[in-house]
Amino acid sequence: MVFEGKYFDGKSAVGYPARVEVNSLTIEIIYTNAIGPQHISWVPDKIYPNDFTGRGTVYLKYGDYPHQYLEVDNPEFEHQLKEAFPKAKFHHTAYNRIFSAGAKGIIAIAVGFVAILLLGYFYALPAFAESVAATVPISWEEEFGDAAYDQMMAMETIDDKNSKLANEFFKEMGYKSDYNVNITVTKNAVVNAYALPGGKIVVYEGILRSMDSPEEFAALLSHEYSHVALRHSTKNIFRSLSSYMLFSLVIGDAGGIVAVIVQNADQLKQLGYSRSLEEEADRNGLKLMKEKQIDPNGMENLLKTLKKEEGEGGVPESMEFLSSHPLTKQRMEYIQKEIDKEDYNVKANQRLADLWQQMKINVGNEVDEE
Amino acid sequence: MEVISTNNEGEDENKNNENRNDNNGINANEPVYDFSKEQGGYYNQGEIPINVFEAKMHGDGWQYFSILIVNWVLTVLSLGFYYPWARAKTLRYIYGETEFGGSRFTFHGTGKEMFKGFIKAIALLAGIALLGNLGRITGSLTLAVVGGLLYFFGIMLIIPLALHGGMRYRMSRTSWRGIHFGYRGKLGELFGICVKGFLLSVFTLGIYSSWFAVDLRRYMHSNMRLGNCHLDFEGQGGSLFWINLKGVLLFYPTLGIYTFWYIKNLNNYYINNTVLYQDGRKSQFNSSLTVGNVFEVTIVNFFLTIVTFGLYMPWAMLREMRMVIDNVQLEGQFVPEAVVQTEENYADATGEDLLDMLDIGLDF
Repeated sequence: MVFEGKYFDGKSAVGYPARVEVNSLTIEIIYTNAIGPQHISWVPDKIYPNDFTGRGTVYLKYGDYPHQYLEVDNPEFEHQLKEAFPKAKFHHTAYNRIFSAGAKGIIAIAVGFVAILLLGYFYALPAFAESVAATVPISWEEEFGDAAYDQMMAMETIDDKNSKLANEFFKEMGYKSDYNVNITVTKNAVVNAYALPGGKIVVYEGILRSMDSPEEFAALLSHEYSHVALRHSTKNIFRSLSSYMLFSLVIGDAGGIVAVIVQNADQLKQLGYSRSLEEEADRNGLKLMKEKQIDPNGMENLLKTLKKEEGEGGVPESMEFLSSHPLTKQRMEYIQKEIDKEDYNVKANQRLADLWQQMKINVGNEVDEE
Repeated sequence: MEVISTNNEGEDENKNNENRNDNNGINANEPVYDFSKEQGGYYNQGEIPINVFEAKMHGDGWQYFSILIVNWVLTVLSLGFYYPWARAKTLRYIYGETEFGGSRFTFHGTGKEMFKGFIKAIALLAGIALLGNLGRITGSLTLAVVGGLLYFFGIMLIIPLALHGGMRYRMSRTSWRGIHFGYRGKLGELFGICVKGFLLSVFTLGIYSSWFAVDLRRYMHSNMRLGNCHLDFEGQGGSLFWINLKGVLLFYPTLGIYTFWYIKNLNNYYINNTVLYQDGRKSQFNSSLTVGNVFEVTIVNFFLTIVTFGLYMPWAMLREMRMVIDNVQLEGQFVPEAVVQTEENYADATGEDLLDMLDIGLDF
């Protein structure tokens, strides 16, 4: 079949009307220029890759610079080309394949792509953020934690006396750490405590009141400290703010991350840890207590106290805090198992008991005054 | 071919056969262009018809959508490394769907070229960033001052460098009817225009920036070649300043609605002041874009993009291009058949990638 087309020789912009024929090995082009009739042959290997997006009109680019072109306004030409040169590279482009898949194929790709993006956004990116969180220097963690801390404390009243006692209490527990742990007790009736990246731990007065023994308090601090030491809070922040942070991290700008944390400080408080992280903190806390010969039953009692709060209903916010933890009953079960697993020594520590007593009095006194 | 002839090419030769000389003393009957019979034989100097050449954007939303989707998938899966190839694909599609005077443009750039440029551009930007932070890294005051100064020069130089390299690459990689475009500008001259424009804009609190934009465009246009043709820009800074001033002053009183007029004015100002020279004959670009066009396209794009959660974007982008391109005409004694290949191959895409990174668009 002979096609009518337009041929451009690459030397001038003249579009020569041409007769085009597709043979088994070549494309024959016959046209007439100023000199006279011309006859040229194209081999398929020298045709440039073509996506055939012209919708009926076929545009071919050919040869070395300056390239030649052929324009044929006939959809049949495309079919003949593909038929005559089934293996030629120029029409085997990825995009060409997609176009021939039609609307269904395109929609399938689009849906698949959105699925990949969602998976990436909700799973891969947070997982990546967590692994990054595990490697950032402690000084960065401190910077994040302090920024969030300052923001949060603006809304709280700090109990200086008890904060001092609580820090002494923690020191007395004797945990060795790369982190500069600092405990703050705030005058807030909510039963809550949380750890910030870099070593800041905040304990609400409400939870102090609910607890009955120094071992429970030791267990609470062990648990929160484990969140710090295991970088749970850093991972958590990175996870939830991963999309913002990706960019800041790429350009190595800790300041940018701090700004994001400050903006989102309020939300940080509400961030629950995943159950597996809570369990990890429980187990690690228990291990530390055993090492330092503090009665690990404190952990169980702490949970009993929390369970009691849970049972009584408590203030709504305390419910929120509890709900983010694994079911308290489950926690009690695995803690009991862990306690029973091996022998341990318990050494009574009078200093811890005294400090606890003072804190309790401080809390109680204030309650009486109210 | 959408060429509307306002002068009959097959006019009787005897009609003008009275030894009429034009102003330059060239014999009007001397054939200046000699073509084959199929191309209309030849034109005599005095007989070159005034033609109107129209532009048209053919892009199809589905095709563009599929190209973009594949680009996104591959870019994400390759952690961004596919990006230069994706860009080449996109440009190739858009150019290939843009028709002027009955023939489409071709973009020849490849992902490989753009990837090399991409790497060089990153290295360049990283180098400049490093200079800026030299003091902070080493803690030395001397290095901070030296680094800071070099950083400042780097920043000043990077935009003309990007424009220059970008123009050279983009022009060399674009062809029409097999004839490649070219850019003949000199980096030093462009740098001079940028420094002068930047400093005067600062000193005049931004007022000079309209004149700066015009200087820049004139320089770049006058150095654009299509074979033996070249473009030029005849706009005046004062007119652009007036357009910008109206845009600013009327924005709030009209609650931003004036933006539609501003877009139209700006677009038409740039296009209507662009001319093309072929062998000394001037042809004029015209834009017939109306406020109604801008209004319709913007509103429809805005709502459909929102309603479809952004999926309409490829269609929206094409509509926007169509709005500008379909309203462009070239009118004058332009003879497409007389354009001959003059430009050389130029494959360094660093400038192109720099422009992309700095988010500067080359709009023609």
